[in-house]
Order: sequence, then C-alpha cells, then structure tokens
Amino acid sequence: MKTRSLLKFSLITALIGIYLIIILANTLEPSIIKISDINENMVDEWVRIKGNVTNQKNIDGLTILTLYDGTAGIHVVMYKKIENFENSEVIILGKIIEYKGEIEVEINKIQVVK
Amino acid sequence: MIGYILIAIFLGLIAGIFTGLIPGIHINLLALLLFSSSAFFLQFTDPSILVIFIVSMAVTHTFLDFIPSIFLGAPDEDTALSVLPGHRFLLKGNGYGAVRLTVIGSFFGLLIALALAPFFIIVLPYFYPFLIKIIAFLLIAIIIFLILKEEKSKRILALFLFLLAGILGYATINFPLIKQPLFPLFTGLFGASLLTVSIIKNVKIPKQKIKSIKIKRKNILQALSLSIFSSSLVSFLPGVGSSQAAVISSGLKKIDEKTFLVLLGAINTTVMILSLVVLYSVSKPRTGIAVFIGRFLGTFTEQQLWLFLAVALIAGSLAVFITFIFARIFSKNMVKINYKRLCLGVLVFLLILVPIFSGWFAILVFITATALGILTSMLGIRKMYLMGCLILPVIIWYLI
Repeated sequence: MKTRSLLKFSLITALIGIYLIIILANTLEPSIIKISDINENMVDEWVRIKGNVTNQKNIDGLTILTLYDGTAGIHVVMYKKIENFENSEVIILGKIIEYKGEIEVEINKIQVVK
Repeated sequence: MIGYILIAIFLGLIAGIFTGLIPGIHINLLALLLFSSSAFFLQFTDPSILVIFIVSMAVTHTFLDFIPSIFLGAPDEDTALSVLPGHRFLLKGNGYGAVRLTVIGSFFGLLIALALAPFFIIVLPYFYPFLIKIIAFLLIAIIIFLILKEEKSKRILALFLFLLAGILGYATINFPLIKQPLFPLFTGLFGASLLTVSIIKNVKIPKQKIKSIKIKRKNILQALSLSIFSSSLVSFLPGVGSSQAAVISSGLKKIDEKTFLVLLGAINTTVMILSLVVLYSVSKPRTGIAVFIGRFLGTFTEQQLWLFLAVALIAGSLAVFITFIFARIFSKNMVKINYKRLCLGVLVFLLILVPIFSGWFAILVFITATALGILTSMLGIRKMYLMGCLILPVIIWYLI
C-alpha cells in the first residue's frame, strides 16, 4: 500500500471510528441490575440501577443520594451540586467506586422515572 | 513469619514475570483474582503476607513490562511511550541495550522512591489540596509548550492528533459497555499501529547484540531528577499516572532517546512505590494495586509500610537480574523468528485479548486507535501527542 493511500485510509478509519464510538457511547447502556447484586469485585464497572431517592445531601459541592430499590440501598455520588431528587424514582447510570471501604456509585447520568 | 514473607516475595516475582511478559495480563487482574479468593488464603496466612505478594509482583512487573513493549511492540499504559524509541534501538540490534536502559531507570527509581518516602509522609498532606487545584492548568501549559516547541509546519497537526486522541480517549472511558478501556486504547495507539506499519514496510530485525548502550552519567542524573519531579507530582493525584509524568518531564527538558528510556523506567517504578506511601500518608489509593492493598489491610500502619518498602527493594533488586535474563532470551531468539509473522501473531493475539478483557465493542476502539497510531506515524508526528487520550479526559475531569 502506498504511503499516501495508507495515510488517507488511516485518517478516514480514525474519523469514522471516533464518530461511531461517540454515538455508541451515548446510546448503549448496561441493563438495570438489582442493588443487592452489586459487590466489591465490580469496582470500576458501569451499572444502571433504578430506585427511590430516600435522602439527598450536599457537602462542599459533592451530592450524595441514598437509593433504595427494594433489594438493598446504596450511596450514589456526584462531584457537583445537582437539583433535588428526594422522594423521586430515578434511573442512574454510573461507575462503581469504593470510598473508605464502602461501595458507592459515581453518577454519570440521572433520569427521573415518569 | 520470615518463611511466609520469603515465599510471598518469591511467588510475587513469578507472578510479576508472568504479568510483565504477557501483553494484556495486568497486575490488577491478578490482584483482583487474589482478592476474590482471599477467604481461602486467609485460612493459612494473614493479609500482610498477601500484600507482600502483591508488592513483589507489582515491582517486578514494572521492570519486566518494557520487554514486550520494546521487542514485540505490545505495551501497556505505563510503557506505551517506550515502544517507538525501543523499536528504533531494536532495528539497530540494540533491543537488549534499550531494556537495560529502562532497568537502570527502574532500579534508581526504586531507590529514589524509597529515599522520598519519609519526606512524602511528612509533606504530602499539606501539598495535596494545592496540587489538586493546579494539575489541569499544569497539563494544559505543558501541552501548549510541547506543541510550540515543534517545527511550525507540525504544530497544527500535533494539536489535531492530540485532540483526536483526547476525544477518542474521553468517549472510550465513558463507554459503559467497555471494561478496562485503557487496554484497547493503548494497545491500538502504540502497539498495533507500530506492528501494522512494520508489516507494511516489511521491517527486518537485525541480529541483536547482547551489550549495553553507553549513556553518560550526566544523562542518567538528568532523567532521574526529571522523574523525581514528575513522579512525585502525579503519585498523589487521582486520574494521572506514569504516562502523564512522562509528558510533563518531556515538556520540562528536551532529552535524547537513551535518556528518555531511563526516564520511563524510573517513572514507572517510582510511581508504583510512591502509591504505597500515598496510600499510607493520605489514605487515598492512586493505583489499582493500592486499591487492593487498602482493601486487604483495612488499617495501614507505619511498620507495615516500611516492611512493604523493604519487600519492594528486595523484589526490585532481584527483578534487575530477571529482566536481564529475559531480555537476553528475547534478543537471542528474535533473529530466529520471521519478524513479519511475529508481528502478525502478536496482532492476532491482541485482537483476541481485546474482546476477552474489554468486551466486543472494544474491537472498534482497538481498530480506531490503531488507525490513529498509524496516521501519527505516517505524518511524522511524535506519538507523545497520542497521550491526549488520557490527558484530555483528566483536564476535563479536573476542570468541570
């Protein structure tokens, strides 16, 4: 393959690939799991959970929600102040993290169930 | 107790050889397996012994992981920038010498990290809040500085590739269906792209010389002083690691390829050791390994820290000789193998590993990253700018 063709081919592949990854990253989501199924071996994994926000507090720009889904409860956190979701049913997409020995979910997307 | 410690160090060395030499097998993976089966092991021993195993494995890994990077073009995220300079030495028959340079860096990096430990324990809690605030601006400044230092004709291209890699990295890291996103990203950008170009150009590997590459003492000191600054900086900040430390060092001083390999070795090991000190000092895990050590220990005492640092010194000293032995084996056997077939074999191997470790969608990332890596090589732009895949997401994370 000539240098120029390879250059063109790699540029087009890179651009199309990046475009597809952006589209897919924003549309594909993991299926909803029970909070009781989350464990410490899942740290860094993406999850989607659905439940009721029973408590919400803001501490120094950090928002911490307590989410219950009937099987268990978990703290979900966001590193900024967000609107109040207390007593709402929400679906959360996020990454499992560990903080001071406790499993939490770092929110990437939060959506109220209508 | 001593018997258990020695056995744990020995098994850690073997595990480190395994993870270091086989592309795609990360130390975090073995640490996770150990953690998952810890209930079984804790019937016979205590958590400190399991941590000794992890420390021994992690330190050995930081020495050995340059071998697949230099000889096979199959790096991990910590050794990615060694692929190109390492490959150039390989093409001159100096693959063994290139590995030796990284070992010099790793060993002195180990000693530096041990020397810095008491200083870190005292000073770290005071500097931490300040550095958190400036890291994004520091990274932006370094990137602008690096681009401005390029020839005028290459500046726009360097910026373009940095941004493309950054967008690719950001989208991949935030792709919910991809596990271990850095694996397809780095193997594509730095490994598979080099292997593909080697196949297309029909690169021939000359007979390898089993001898050191001469490097001035002044250059080693230069690499070590740069690594002290950048490794210390990244060791206690979340989201930044060896790769960013290498970019920061490159922005601070222009160095030749030999010095760069020493620098990479030093950073790789220093960051690993300092992550232990940081875990003790500010109770924050900054590497995957530190996360598992924190989980095993619960409470981390100063006595345990010094024990683990002593283990790191023993494992690192032994890893020097182990790395030389394996580099020698690779050097002797490189000429016996058809290099084109070897490159194809490694490419297929990586392509098989990608879906296993990261899921099916990671193949798209792998192909895209490979294309971007090839594009960078074809345009004659330094692969350093592809580190945008980690640097841009970190800048966004700290600024937003």
